[in-house]
Amino acid sequence: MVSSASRTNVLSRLGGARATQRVASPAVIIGLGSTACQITQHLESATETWSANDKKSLGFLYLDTREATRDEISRASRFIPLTLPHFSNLRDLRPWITECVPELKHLSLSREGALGMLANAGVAARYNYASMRGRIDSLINEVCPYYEGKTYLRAHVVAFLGGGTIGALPVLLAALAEARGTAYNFSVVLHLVMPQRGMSRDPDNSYPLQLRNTYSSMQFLRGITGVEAGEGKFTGSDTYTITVYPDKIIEAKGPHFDIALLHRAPKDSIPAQQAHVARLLENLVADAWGCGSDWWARYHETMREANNQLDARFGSISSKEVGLLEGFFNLTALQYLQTKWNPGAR
Amino acid sequence: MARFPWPSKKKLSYKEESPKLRETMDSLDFFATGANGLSTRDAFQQIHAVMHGALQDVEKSMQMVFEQLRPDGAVAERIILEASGEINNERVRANVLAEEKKEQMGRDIRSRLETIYIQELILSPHQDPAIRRWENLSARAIPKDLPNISEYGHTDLSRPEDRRRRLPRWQQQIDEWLETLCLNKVGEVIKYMETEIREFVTSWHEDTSGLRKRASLGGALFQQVVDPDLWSFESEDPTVRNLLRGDQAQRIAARILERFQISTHEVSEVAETVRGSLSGEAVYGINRVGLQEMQDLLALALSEKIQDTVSLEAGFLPVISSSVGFDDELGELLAEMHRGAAAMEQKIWRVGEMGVGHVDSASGVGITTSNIHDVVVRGLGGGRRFAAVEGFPGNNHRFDVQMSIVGAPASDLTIFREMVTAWYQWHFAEDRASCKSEGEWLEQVKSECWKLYPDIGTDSGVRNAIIELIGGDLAEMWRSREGTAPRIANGLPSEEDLLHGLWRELGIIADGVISEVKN
Repeated sequence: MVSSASRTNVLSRLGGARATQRVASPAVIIGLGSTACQITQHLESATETWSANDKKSLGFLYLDTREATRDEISRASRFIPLTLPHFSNLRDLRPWITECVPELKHLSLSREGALGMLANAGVAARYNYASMRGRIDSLINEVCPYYEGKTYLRAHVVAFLGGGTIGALPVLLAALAEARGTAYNFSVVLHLVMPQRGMSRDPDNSYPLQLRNTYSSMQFLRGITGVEAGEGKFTGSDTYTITVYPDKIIEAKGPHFDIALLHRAPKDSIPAQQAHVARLLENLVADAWGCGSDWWARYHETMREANNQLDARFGSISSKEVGLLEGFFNLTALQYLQTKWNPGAR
Repeated sequence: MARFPWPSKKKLSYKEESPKLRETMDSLDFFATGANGLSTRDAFQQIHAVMHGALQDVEKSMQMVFEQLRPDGAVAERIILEASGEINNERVRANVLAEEKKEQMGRDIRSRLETIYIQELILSPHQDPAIRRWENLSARAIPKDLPNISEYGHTDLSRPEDRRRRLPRWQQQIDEWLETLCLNKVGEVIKYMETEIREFVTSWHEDTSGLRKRASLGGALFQQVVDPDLWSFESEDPTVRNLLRGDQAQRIAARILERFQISTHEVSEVAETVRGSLSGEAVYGINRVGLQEMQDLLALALSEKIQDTVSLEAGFLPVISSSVGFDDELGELLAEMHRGAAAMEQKIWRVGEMGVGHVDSASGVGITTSNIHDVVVRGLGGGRRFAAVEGFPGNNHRFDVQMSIVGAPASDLTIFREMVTAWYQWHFAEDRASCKSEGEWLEQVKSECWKLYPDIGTDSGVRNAIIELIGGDLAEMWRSREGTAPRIANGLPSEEDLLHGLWRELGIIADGVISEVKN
């Protein structure tokens, strides 16, 4: 087999001749939870072959309740563990805790991931809010240097809707809302990965829990769009407040996200899910190139033209864009060689 | 066999050779098959010219020394004293420069031959390599001993008449020495070249025989391209497999190859790319790259050329559009592309509209058939909206099949009903299912309902908004009665009443959607 180094050499030589800028808008990509961190890591690895300028415009941040995730991502990456000190070291009935859970001792701190509780991540995110804000601000400054006159960026948030860590999403969105209130203007793209029965370790017990988390999180997102729904008593505002450690009230003003993409893997397999979502994410991050530029052009066109709920034209997935052509043309080239080396086969 | 008139009797002269030799832009262009019908003598002269050029500076410096020693003028004592030393220094420099040039030419020959080797593997793997034409170039390039050169001291050159007598002889000796050195190095270069050509030819016969075996019936390459299963692109990304499979992909590949013409320039680009990617690993010779790796690298580099040449900007549709039975195949292909894309279930949720929309679409550019619209409709079946065919530069048509339904409710999600059911049933599961009274049930649910929401803040947070939205969803479900599983009542009030009571208890909804449903 061709060694990966040689293959990279060939591709980089081929790519070098037609090196193009991929990233027009600087982007911060945030993975929330184990599944999302793996997808984000997949994307970060994919961008390694991009040009230095493109890479400079990208920043990655990983958030998870599992400390082990730190070891699964690259060492250079920024990771914030959403963990709490032991509850005996915290005053149990502070508002930043009771917003999520009546008493801290209700939380089983060992539960995590898909089987975790939304409240666990919610409390931990509130506890780590300052760190989260600081990292987000410094990342934004890095990828979008103010002194270079860049003030616009995109924040891509990747999260698995069925996981427990999705409970930190309201806090993360509040942190992003605060960051947006600074000199920077940015849009937020949510990449929400749907749970799938076939991918659940325990379809009878954990899957319903994942579905509940998904449902609550989706309703939260619907709630913060500011659209009046139902009787309109509590909906209709895109602003909410959260209390973070140590009892600081944050007013999170909307709009909190510009677009939310719901991803579902075409096959019940974690590698497929990672590859699939990461590839779409890669396309959208590379907004100056290929499918990404097409997609964003359509997006802006649609946003401009959409006067009613039914008028929308989105997306384009051709065989080229879904990555079919690389494998296909490789085999076609082999077929070409085969006819050359064995003329009788024509 | 090539025969070169090596000037054995006549004295060699660098100066005399100079006007006869012209350095060409590419001194190794004779390697190229049939390059302007260059003869073996021309090839020899081209290498000679390169070496000659490398010694030009030395020759000029030596001339300067002789110019300064001219017999008719006053010559400084220092110049006479240092003349021999300077000539000796220049001879050393000539040796170094000639050696450097020899090595450089060796490297150039190696890389050129490697590139040619790869080119020939693509273009003419069944022919004897044309490079064999140059394998006897050194037949008469017999190395000669360097002539002795006189050493003249101050006493030999101090008087003008001595210089008049001795300088021409000295100059002639130096001239002969320089040309002898030049030709000896040319001979070494040619010998190196011939060794390389021999290695080239040996490897060529082994490799082409191996490649023929691989490409013949039963060979590894044969099986790889013939087996339709391998054209299904098994990978961790299943969408690749979903879109185009087996026989269909093979047929399209065959059509692409029918159109594919690779130019000589492109072949040399491919060869350079492959050679460069080997990072110093030999293309031919003893420790050369394996056949499998060579084949894979060639395929990688060629695949890019095929893509560029065929210009498939939007997939396969333009390729199949000109074929017989295009309509049927296009319809079938589109349907398959649709299924592949739809399998991904990309949905989009737009702010402000509470809408969820698919982005599963397929697009094609360059379709020339006018009835494309009808074909698309047939291929995809009814029920989905798609955009019209748009004009596209070059009088072709562009179409985008867009099954977008942005604006549909969240319930369009595949697992929507499952989600609501899972959320709903939590209230009546585990310990809560065995409650005997409404009060007991309320107590149980209230103590644990924080597990359901991202936050439970009553004054701030979004719990109330969430429940308001959930209320709407539940109302829909209760209306349809499809998604709620029957529950053993345990003598408790109805589920609607229980939830209504819970929310009233929590202070969220006094007269919400539940009453609306009940009415």
